[in-house]
Amino acid sequence: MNSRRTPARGDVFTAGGTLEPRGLQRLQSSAVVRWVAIAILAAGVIVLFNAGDPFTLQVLTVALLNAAITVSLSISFGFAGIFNLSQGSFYGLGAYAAAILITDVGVPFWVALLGSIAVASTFGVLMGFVAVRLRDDYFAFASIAFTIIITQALINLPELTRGGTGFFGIPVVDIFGWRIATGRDSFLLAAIGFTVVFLVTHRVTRSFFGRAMLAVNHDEMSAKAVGVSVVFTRVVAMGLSSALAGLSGCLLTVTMLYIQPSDFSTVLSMNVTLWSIIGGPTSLIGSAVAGGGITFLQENIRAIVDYRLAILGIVVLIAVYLRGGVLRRPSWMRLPKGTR
Amino acid sequence: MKKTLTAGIALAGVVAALAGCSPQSTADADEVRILFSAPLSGDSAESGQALLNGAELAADIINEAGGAGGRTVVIEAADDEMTTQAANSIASKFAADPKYFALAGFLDTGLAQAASVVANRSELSLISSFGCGDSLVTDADNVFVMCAAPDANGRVAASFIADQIPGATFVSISIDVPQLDFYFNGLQAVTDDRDLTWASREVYPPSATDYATVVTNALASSPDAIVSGSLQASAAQVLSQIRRTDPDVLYVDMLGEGWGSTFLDTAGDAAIGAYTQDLGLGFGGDDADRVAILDRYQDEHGTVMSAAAQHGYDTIVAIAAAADAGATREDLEDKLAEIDADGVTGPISFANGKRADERVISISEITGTAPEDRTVLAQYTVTSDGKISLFE
Repeated sequence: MNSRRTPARGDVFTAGGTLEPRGLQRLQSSAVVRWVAIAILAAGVIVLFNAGDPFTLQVLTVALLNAAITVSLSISFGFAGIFNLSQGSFYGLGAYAAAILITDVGVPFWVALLGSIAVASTFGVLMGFVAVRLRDDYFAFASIAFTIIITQALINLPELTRGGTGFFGIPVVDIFGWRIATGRDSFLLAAIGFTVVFLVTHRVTRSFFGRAMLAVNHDEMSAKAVGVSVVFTRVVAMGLSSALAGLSGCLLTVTMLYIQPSDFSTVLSMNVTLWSIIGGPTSLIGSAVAGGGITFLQENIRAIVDYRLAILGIVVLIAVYLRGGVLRRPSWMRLPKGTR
Repeated sequence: MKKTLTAGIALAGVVAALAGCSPQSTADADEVRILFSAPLSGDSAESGQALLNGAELAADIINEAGGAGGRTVVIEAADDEMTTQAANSIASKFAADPKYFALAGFLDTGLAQAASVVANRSELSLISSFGCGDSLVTDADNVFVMCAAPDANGRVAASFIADQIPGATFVSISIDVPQLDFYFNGLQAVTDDRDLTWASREVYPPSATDYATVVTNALASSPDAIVSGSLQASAAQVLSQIRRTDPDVLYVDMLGEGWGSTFLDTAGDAAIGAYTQDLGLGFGGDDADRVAILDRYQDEHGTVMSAAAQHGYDTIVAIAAAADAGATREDLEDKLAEIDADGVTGPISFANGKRADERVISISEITGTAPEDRTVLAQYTVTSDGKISLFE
């Protein structure tokens, strides 16, 4: 039946000669799906073995959320090539939107989740327009300024945000009868959130739009020549990237039940970018492993705190030397020699 | 596929093994182990270390006297880096491991609040040694707070000015950070109650290095007193500039941080005549036991026992008293409510709720450039219901 319909952009012929939508075919064949399944299996094993260990569950919850925002940065930073140093701000905007909606407005979780995504992506789109006008280092400075503005706004709007001392009194949420009341609930919700962010990012980056982002990233003029809109690509890339960060921020709020402006300062944004560089900006698995793994190790080995920045610096240098991250990007993503 | 599956199982095993590495042990019947959260790295490390030093001194003194109910008090420091993420991890470490009798420390209200959520999931309580915000008792029900009132220091500064110069006009000069809102609330409350006029509120950004503008603006109204909301070195620089224009205006600390060697070294002779605010009975008090504790701290650490250090000290005294009364980590909350202990700052009890019932705060005049050169002029008792009175 598939072979009789009109082919659409991205459709592919399978080995059997039938026409399949490209996305479905790729999704089915991709090793990424297996990796995600393995990660979920690993998560399940951990929960089974450590159901009563609040420390492990707490650390893994934070690690999964950090992995999610690092993966979401791949869209704007890795694929679209936007030097985005404000991912922590979108995370914070999502977190605060959820806190205000749940606590002060009294909406259910799903509405808060949509609100978080809407708020973060709105600001992301605005920054996307900035990314059209400013490039590379100049946009990096603009994004740092954006992060500072957001942090200061969160501090100086106490009627809305509770100010610098943080947002207290966030109630436990109920998702179709599932109360996120324990550390295990929080961990499972974070695992689901991470999976959603990973799969959406994977789907976006393997789509036509993903290729368009790469085209704009590597050669803007050539991309324009083949009909790719640079403005649309950059704006949507920032919007999608920030929307997923906002989603992660919402999950942070409902799992931690307390947030404060300093959680979303330039330090977090810088760290997320560093994790992305270490894992490989276009490697989703690398980004997830770097973002989640470094968080996990940091919390398990607090003795390394004094040396953390030095260690991170060395790893970043290695990542820059290797080009593409310590966990090298997959071969299909590498460009032929001489093209960069 | 087989290769991927093998790798996956290996990955799952490694992650599970790593996860299983988290510490799990049983409580040692001979010790009272306290997990103490403080920023030991970063910008707030100096205050965090002072908080910890005070706690460790209390443990030493209690152990020398036979321990808490015969058990050795052990302080295990944990660096919270002043981040929510670290505070949450520390709280979950406490919740996960029964060897910890109590979780205490926290320089900041927000971190104590974050930790309280995690501890609450295991139905455990914690003690905020220095974080003092109202939200700790209004939005959490498992946090004991060592300070009696968040606006106490502001109240004491304004009360002192009103006692010294009835009908005075004063101005405030402070760093512009939201955490000072509590202090300003205290100033405003006493200004409203007493015969005082708050002429202007001058602030400078945290990055400021030049204070000429705020000092000029502050002195423009010819105030009788200036209330300082500045930290040690910047407070000294502000004072030095004030003294060049007006040598006689009262300069009164509002932060209660106990101006020490950093302030004195920076201000030099300009410090003489300024009024510093200390937690507790202050230097020169006539209680020999407390003076001995303050002196021992200064001998061991080469600096005066700051407000943070004194709060850290009293936190451990409170926990030890509860342990002595037979508390377990599960019912620490109930036993803390019953204690009647004696700390370096004065009596410690929580009979009226989860805030310490009262704290004593002293105002001293600086008479020289050494830390001990000061004369206690007034001692105030601040209670958890917001009342302030001269210490009896």
